[in-house]
Amino acid sequence: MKITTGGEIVVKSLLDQGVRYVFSIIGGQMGTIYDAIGKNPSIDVITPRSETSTALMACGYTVTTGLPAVAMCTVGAGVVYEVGGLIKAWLDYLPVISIAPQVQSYKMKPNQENLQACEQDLLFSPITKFNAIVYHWERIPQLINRAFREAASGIPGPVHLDIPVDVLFKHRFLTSQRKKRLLPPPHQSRYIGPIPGDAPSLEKACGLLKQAKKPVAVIGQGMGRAGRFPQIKACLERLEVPFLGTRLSAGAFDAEDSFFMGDAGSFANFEAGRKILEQADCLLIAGLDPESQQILKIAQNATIIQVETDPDALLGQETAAPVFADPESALNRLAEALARRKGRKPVAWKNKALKTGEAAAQQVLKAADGPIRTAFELLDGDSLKDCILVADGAPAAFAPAFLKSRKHAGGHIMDQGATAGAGLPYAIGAALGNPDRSVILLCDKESLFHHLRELQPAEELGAGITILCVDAAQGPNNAADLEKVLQGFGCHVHRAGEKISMANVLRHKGQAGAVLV
Amino acid sequence: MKTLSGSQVLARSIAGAGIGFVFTVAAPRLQPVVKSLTSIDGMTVIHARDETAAAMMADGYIRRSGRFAAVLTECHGRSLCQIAGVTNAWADKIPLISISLCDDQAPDANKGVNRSAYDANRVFEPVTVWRNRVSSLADAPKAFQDAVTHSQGSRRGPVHLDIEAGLLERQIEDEIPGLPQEGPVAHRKLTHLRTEGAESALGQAVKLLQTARKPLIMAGGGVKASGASLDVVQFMERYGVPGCTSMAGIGAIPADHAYCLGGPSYTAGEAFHAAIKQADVVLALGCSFSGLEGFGLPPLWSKKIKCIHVDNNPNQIGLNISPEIPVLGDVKTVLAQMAGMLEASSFVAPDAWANWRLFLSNLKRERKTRLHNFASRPWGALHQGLLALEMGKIVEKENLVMVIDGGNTPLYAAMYGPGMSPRQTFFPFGMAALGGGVPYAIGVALAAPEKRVMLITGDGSCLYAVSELETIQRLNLPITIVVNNDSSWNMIKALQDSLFECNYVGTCLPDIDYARIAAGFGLHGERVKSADQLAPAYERAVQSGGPALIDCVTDCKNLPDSLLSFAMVEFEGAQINPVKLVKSLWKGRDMGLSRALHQASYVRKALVGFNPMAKRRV
Repeated sequence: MKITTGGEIVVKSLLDQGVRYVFSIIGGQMGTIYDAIGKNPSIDVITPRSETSTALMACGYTVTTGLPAVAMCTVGAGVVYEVGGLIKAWLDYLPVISIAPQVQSYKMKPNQENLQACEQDLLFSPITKFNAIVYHWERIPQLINRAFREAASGIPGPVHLDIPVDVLFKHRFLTSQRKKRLLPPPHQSRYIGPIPGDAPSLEKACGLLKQAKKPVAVIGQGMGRAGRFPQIKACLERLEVPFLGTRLSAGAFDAEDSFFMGDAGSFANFEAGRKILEQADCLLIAGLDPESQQILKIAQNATIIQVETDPDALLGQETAAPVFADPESALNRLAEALARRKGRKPVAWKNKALKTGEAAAQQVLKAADGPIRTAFELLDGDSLKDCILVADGAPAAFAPAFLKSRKHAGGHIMDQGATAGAGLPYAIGAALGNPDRSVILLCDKESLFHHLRELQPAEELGAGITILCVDAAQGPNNAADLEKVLQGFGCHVHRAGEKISMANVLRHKGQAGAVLV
Repeated sequence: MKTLSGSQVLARSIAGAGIGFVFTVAAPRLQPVVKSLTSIDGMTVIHARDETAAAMMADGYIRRSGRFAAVLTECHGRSLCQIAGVTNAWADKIPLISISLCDDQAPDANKGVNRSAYDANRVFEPVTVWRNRVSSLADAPKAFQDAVTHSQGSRRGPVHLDIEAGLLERQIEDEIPGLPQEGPVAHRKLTHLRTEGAESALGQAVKLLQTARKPLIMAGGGVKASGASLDVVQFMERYGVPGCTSMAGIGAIPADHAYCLGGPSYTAGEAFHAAIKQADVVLALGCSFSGLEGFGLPPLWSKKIKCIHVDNNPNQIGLNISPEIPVLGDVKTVLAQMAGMLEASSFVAPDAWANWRLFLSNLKRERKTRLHNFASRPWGALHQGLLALEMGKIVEKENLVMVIDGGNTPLYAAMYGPGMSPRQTFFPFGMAALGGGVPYAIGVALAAPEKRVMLITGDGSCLYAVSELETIQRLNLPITIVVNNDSSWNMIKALQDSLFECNYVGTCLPDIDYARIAAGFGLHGERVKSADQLAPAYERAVQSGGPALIDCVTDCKNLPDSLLSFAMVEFEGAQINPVKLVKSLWKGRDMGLSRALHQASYVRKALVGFNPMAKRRV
């Protein structure tokens, strides 16, 4: 029998869910959680220098590892900073678990002008899949498990829990029997396994694909990445249908994938690519997202097969075969059906589509201006091998086309329209989750400045990311000397043209380094 | 008929609402709006590096200038990043105009695959007083006029406008009702409702005050909003009533005024505690009785207090305390009415009031002496109290504007700093948020071009908006940043000291040279380690001719004694494990005997209320 605080129950529940890092800046109300973390060597706190970055680092960590990531910020003053970071997890379908303390449960709602408080549950509600207030000590494990389940199931996304300070500081005797009842083993808290799918729809989809002469697939919603059906790559090899990847699945596919046509955005903006999509007679969408919706609008002549892990994402009448299944199971089933197909394979169509994809990428890269092109030239084959490349700012528009022809480079493209400057904290999260891989942040000066402060914890953590920054000022008003600014943070700075190769810079893993173009 | 672009309509609507300062961050879709704004005579557009900072700059500008300003950002993450700044304005009831672009598609609350269709206005809802979505250019002028109006109604605070991004690309030929003609922007000043108090309520209030034995004036942020600081001071002096301030009211009565105790409890210590435990009548002026003030309720406050609560917002009255006499009205107006009634009745303050005032003054003086003696001991490193004292001397001598940021740093500044006028000092008030210092200093400096600004910030807080050092340098703003660098998140580290057996997790920072970081941005930067180096370092900073940062290495073992008062509010109702508490105190003996005794005397004087010397001197 042991006296257990609410904070200890929180940490135990997080450990059960496999959490290794909590991205957090402390506040007094989280005292019991931090105390429990300090006593457990299996879980650590990573402290950025602004709460906005807690969520962004968690995004980078979870998307590159497939492991759960937690952002934890303090009451009011802390969580309002976090909102601007968690929106990335919301828009990019990332299962970030956000937990925050609240003021006393008996006076937090409605707001009574409490110290630092606001109704943070309302603040998070529109940008999370699920949010709740944990009013009772006994419900902490249940609601944390539920948060993880909601975040990861169906279309993933962030979730948020508020736990009042009196619940976190409450302590109770925890008998082994009570512990067993309160904290079920993790496999009992949610379903983890394949979704073989809705058999009749899948049967119909097999029939449609077998008939197709000009099929195209679009893989979106982050499918193919770590923790999000990475085996889909092998399934697509077996399927032998040319496919596009959307921004959210960028980096999951590369030159190693025989049927990869490139990124959906570049392809759709290329005239010949657009024609291919118009000619397609069957469009297989695995994971609908904003980019695949654009492709859907172009491929007007195609019969639509849609595979979703969440039935709510199925389009309805637009889709001839709406399939609720996980993409690995569904694609394997479709591949088996195609293998049994009689007649000739559409080889000419495949070659034409792939060639068009190549041309689309080349056209995008041609449009890159001098400094951005130089930056890509620095990213030669050797330096990129087994690296994680995070592209932000102006170069991000060209990065998918660049990544198409590279092998073994996990690419992550930051969306300029959604969040600004997420690249740096995201890259730090990625570096923490992948200590044996190099992480390169390809960015421009404007985007780098948003979260520049995070260079300090990056250095402290030894998360030696390498920044390849286009220093040609995009914003006309940034007057700082970037070289000096980065040196101020302890970065080793090189200028392109100093006979420096990325491979040399990357060799100093553990130290923050920067190459300015 | 001249054709106008959506950007021009938007820019003219902003100017037409009297907003002459717009803080933004460069983004491609905003470029045409910014171009249109800058073409308006008298309009200033300031580019920040990050949206959070842009919102805080606008807030700082409004607080100092008393004029309207707006923050204008792109959509999604860029828009939601400004919410931290908007929330600070909401907590302190500042009429900030927050503007963002949003997607053209109608909001969809179904949380499906179409994530970008979330309703941004709903995210802003808990921290704004009014919101709207502009879906047509014809609605824009009125929307901005409404925004300004609603930001300073009885519920004063920030407002948010979502502008559908597609509007910027539209052209309009029709005349839009309410769209001002081209011309210079007429900068609009914040106004304040001058509501008179009802005669009946005031009659009772005056009667209650006349019968009081130990009256106390509590000045909140409403005093500053009403411009009533001088009136409050005159009232206090005329009748010899002691006064104190809430956190939001800091500066409403100069802390060094003979009748002012300072405030609230965790800055003014035993003087404030004694006042709110022993007072029988409290005249609360524009005070929200927030958590920062212990809600005006037990255990910090006496349950026997009879309160006259004057506030312009009917929803604020009775929110936390149940006043004996509620008065709906503007502080300045009501105070003048009350003074008139007291004059008419030829009221003379009884002798008991003088004794009461003297007792509190003694407590204040004793506290000041005790704090100063303690800070001046030969500590191994610079004591934060000495830092605040030295900086305070410079602020007073040079008549600077002071901005404070941090956790413990504001407590030190309030405990040791100088008495300031209402618009001379800017603390993180209601949200007590970290990281606003640099952007607030920028906003304040832009609003006070004739003054030099001193920002005193903690080390935890100083990196939040470090990118804005570029903005400071680019605009060559006369800002001196003083960093209280104790290499820790010390306010919370104190909690780990006292409740968690010194289990320091996430509260220790390495030895970071912030002067070197600042120098990277082109600021004059230097590091000091002792009190005698502070004034010369400041001199050199000024002589450098530009902005500067002085990194002061301070003693991480020091804590403000009054942190205990803070903890009483923060952890009210939370179970503290007594075994852990005892173990923590035992481990905490490393702090040394003198620090332990210093804390013990705070517990005795402020929390137990045992102050025989102060009583004997009356």
